[in-house]
Amino acid sequence: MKANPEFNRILDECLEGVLRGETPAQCLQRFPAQAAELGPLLTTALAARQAVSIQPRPEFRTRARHQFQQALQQTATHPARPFLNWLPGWATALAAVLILVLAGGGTVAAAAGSLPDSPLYPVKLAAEQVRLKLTPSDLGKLELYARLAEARADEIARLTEKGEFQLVAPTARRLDEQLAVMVSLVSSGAAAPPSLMTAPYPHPAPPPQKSTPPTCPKTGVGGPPRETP
Amino acid sequence: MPDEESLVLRAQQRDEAAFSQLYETYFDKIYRYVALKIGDRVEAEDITQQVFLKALQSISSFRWKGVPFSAWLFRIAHNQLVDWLRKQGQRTSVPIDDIPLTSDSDPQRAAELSLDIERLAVATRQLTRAQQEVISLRFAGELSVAEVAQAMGKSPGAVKALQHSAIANLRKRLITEVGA
Repeated sequence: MKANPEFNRILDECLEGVLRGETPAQCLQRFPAQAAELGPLLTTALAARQAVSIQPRPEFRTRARHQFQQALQQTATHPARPFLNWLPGWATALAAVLILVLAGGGTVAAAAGSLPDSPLYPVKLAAEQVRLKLTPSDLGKLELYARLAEARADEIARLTEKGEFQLVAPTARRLDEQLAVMVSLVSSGAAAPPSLMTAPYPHPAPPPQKSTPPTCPKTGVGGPPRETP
Repeated sequence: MPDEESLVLRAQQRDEAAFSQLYETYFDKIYRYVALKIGDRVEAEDITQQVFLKALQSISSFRWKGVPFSAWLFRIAHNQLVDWLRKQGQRTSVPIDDIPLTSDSDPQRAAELSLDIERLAVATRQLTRAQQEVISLRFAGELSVAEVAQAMGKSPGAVKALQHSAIANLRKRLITEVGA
């Protein structure tokens, strides 16, 4: 192969043209000085392009599409269910607590600062669901949702910094959902506590010491001790 | 038309319409890629179908971490081919001209293309594996240089160099056949 960078650049450009449907002659008109060397290569590229212009048999295409649609419908009717949402309320809380206790307080603590691109992120979301389900009062829920909304906003900012733009949209949807719940709670009469907008979200807990037992679920997993209303 | 990223995200949420659109976009390309590699129409059909069923099963694991969806899908196709070839125990040489070329009903055009396909298929199989892969992905799969680079785990510069050498070597093979 020719080690001439300029020739290689021209060849790249012309090959792109041939693959887009340009004829070799059109490229050679732009680069007449290289025509003698370019011509045979572009003719070969065109022949290769034409050679692979094959189509699947129509009967196979129809059969394959039907089979694929069936498989698609099967996965749509049996989707991967959202975590915990298939259980009634009290069972959800109990299952979540059992799962988190078995996973270990260390796992939950490690998940607290995770982002949507982390394998621990579902644990983080599960822990939030547990806290919500174990918070009986609307006021308590409102305060917790405010903290969760801050967490979502923090995740969006960190995802943007990392360039993980494809995960920003689903995170923003979760934020929207949580803000909508807050509006609903406020509308229903749960007054916003003075500390709502200033209380910082709990910082991710440091990795636990080996002797540290799992956090008691009654106090809120990973959170500070809470006064019962 | 929604961009591919949003289609893939929707497909991961089991949006049938989104996945169907991806299917239609890539079906012919995957089929051509497989058919050019193995030269067997019936097996190419089965392998093509397996590629999309595998993609349906594993799409939730796909992440946009610098690898486009096309590269991920063709990687599945490549792996299915590797499995198939391993089971076959050899590289098949079934003439690719048994495969319908286009829906063009002109028999003379079909005959010319058929002859070209036969010669090119034989010539392609005499290239290095990397050169074959570049030809298959660029010409049959219609992937860009960047997408081929990500599918093959190479730099775009390396892909361009492979493309150049593949075309040059194909030319030599074809001239040799004509002169023989």
